[in-house]
Amino acid sequence: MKHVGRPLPRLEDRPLVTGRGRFVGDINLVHQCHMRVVRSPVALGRLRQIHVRAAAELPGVAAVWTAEDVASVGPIGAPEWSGMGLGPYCAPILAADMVRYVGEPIAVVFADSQGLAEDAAELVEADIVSLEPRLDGAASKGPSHDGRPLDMRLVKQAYGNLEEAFLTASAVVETTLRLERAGGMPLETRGIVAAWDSGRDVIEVWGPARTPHGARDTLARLLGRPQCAVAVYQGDVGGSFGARGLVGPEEVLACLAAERLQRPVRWMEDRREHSLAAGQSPAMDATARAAVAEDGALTAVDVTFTLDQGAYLTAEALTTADLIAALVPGPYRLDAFKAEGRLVATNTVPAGTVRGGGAFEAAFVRERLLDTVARTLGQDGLDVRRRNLGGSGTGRPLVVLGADVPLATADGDRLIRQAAKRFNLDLLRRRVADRRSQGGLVGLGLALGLDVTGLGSGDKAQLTVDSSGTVELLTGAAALGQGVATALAQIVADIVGVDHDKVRVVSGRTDRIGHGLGATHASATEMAGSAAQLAAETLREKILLAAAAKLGAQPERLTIQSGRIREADRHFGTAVELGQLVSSPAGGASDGGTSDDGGEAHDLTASAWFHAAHPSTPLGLHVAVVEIDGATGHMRVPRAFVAADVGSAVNPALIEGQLVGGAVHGVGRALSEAFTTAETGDPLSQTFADYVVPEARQAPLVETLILEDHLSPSNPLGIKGVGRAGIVGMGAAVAAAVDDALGEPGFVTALPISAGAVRALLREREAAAATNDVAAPADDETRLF
Amino acid sequence: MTRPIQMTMEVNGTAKTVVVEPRATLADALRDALGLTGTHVGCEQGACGACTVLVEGEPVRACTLFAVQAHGMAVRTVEGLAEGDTLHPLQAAFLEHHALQCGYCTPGFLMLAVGALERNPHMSDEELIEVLSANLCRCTGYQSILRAVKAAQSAMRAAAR
Repeated sequence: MKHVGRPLPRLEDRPLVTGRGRFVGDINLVHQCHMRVVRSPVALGRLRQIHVRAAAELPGVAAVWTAEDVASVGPIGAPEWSGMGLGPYCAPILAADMVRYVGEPIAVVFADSQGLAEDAAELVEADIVSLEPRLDGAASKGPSHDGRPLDMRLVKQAYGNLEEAFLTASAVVETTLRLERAGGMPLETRGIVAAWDSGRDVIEVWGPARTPHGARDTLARLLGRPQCAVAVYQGDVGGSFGARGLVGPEEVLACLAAERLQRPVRWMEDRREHSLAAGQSPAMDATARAAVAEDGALTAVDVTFTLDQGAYLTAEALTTADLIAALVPGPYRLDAFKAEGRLVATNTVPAGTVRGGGAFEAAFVRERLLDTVARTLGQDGLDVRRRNLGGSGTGRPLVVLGADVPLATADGDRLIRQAAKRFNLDLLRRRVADRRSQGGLVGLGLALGLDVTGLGSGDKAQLTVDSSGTVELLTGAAALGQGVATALAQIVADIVGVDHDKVRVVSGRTDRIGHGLGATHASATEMAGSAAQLAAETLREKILLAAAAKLGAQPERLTIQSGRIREADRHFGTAVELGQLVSSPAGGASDGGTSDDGGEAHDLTASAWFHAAHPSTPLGLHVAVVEIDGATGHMRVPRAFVAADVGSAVNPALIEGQLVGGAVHGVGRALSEAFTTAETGDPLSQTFADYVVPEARQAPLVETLILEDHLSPSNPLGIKGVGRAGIVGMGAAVAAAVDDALGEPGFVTALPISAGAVRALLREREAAAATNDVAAPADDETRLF
Repeated sequence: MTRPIQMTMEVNGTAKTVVVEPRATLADALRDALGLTGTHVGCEQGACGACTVLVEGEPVRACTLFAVQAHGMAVRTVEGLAEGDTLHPLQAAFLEHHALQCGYCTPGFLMLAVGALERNPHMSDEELIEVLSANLCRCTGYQSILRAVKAAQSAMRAAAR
């Protein structure tokens, strides 16, 4: 049975539908204590004193800590940052003399029960002198209140002669854009259970992380331990969407307390804390200019952007900023290009990343700019895009995190043609235009989304066959709900020659495999799958050699099917089961005999490293249809389409799940998702009631097209990561669709799109129509199509 | 301080007596006192529906009901859906239609949909979407969940005939 390429059911599902999954919140250890973090109630202030006595004296409270109790630990941040002048932006474990955002940890309570810990935390009183916070990254100038320069970091990418391109352009267009802060908002909040195994002197950690090995390394460094004295065990994870990347103060505090209090420590974040303190995407303000030649060709793009990084720097923020700059050119051919970005310190939650981070922002800027070009030229948006595509194998490489990434396989024109055919795009556009000509506020928008996946040094896989014939795959990939175990099992099954349910995938165990990339940048199947493939090829050779010895046959004449090895051209005759080839620990073969190779044990294990020469560059076409309620300005996306160039589809059902889920997430970011703050810096989005993620009735029907005609040259299976492919261009597509519905090109300059602004525009038009019979906007509506 | 209270409820067909703090929610009682951790908690304020269980046949948020309010009542959780190794038709449909990814919201969706389908086996697509809009899923974009619920609806109707 061939597995790769088939939409097989997931191996992960049975425990999850029967309530037997094991999430971090399901783990309780004997004699554990519960941790509750006391957080700053103000956005910026001088922390004078914290009164902890009342809390500490409450019966059942094991400890209450403030900054001085953890002064020897931290701050959080990469070790090389202090040398880069980034020291002042590293988050402390607990704030010492300044608090810099609402929700910053200032004290921590450990108690016998969750309720007690919460009761005690409410008795902790902080004496804080409030200062005026800075909340808007773009508007901020001059030194900060707290003595730190505002600009944490600058990123820049450029090529070609920008000045000349703009001087000689026949037209220059410009647009100013904004993205509000958004969050991954997984259904499961953060959490950790930490225990100190005093016998082995190992800190054991149960909890979700996008890179369990990265979390282990960070914890080990901050706790002053060797990496092998920290073990991270990851069970089921309730989604990530960017929110699982960081080791925050909370995880460090739990580990410290486990050792100091000599009791297991359990921390479960509540939803309000998650909204206050878990990583968000930075707000972005951007100005983009394009130089356009007479024939409509783009010659140069110049983008400046500001990211509101929040109170402290994170490694993910640096990557996101770099990716935005790298991906602004996207799939288009440009003679000259410049992107310059600032990461600005503000008194908001330290920004991390959200699904699509970097690529989503870049696509929004680039594709809004392309729509502006189309409007200026009076041309169709899709035509302008096609005309400016770089084409396969042409154009400059992207520079991502300092390395060249060739756009070797991003054939945008082919993608657009195939998508147009599958989605009946022409018919769809005509229908939308018809409905609009009958007075409906309906529009269609599209955008190209380019991503970079498969970042990271390399990944490793280990395979072991046991005497039951089961193949265990050990991987450092992180299972975050995307079904990576199923995909990896499919890859291994085909090569080794077993059914995929005979492959047991073990992930999230840093004590069993020393290295792992986790699931960063949507690349788990791409990187871990490639390592698994290489290991499986080695294992297959070992199996054939062992079986040949046992059967007295030539290895090249053997075949493995469903774990049985026999001579390929003989329907009858002897066969051997995979498990029978496994030597017992005593050294003899499991059937008790001595093998023909002189008694050497058949060690049916194999491991392999995979190093990608380059990341992959999946391209997608995102299309959204928008309907607007004329009375309220309320926007709805009834239909959306995603065509994605995925390289090789290991399991199309898993890919479709990623594309549809990502597309709906993108619609959420376009229409409703935002973390906003009051002028005081108080977060206004603290629950699912005010951070609005799409519900079933708001989710569009998403059609997908999975294109496999351009394999990634970066890995043996030709896989491109798809975890972000659904969301990348969807924000820009919805923005364009709203413009189209309103017949007001360039109307949308910010996400999420304000229904109030749409309503105001419609009221304005009504008023104008009432006083003056000229209906200019209505004429505009038809011009696009 | 508040004194723990002894209460009894029927959980998946079996009478259970537990001792809980008055402030404990039904979700706390199921998860901590009874070890039924399939009921997940996502927001603790009734917004996300991950903790949905059936109380007297009605889908309720176990995070906003005090445990003691369920005293004397029949509670069904995700652990009670399958009969031995045989999955409930809705569970089987969730597997077949890839209606879950991370699985955190899944028990809530299963109980929500089972409650709704048992009450009205003939819901239209629009009615189903309305019901499913009670809960949040961040992974699937909902369309595979809707597909699975529709498939289970047919299977359950066929089984009832």
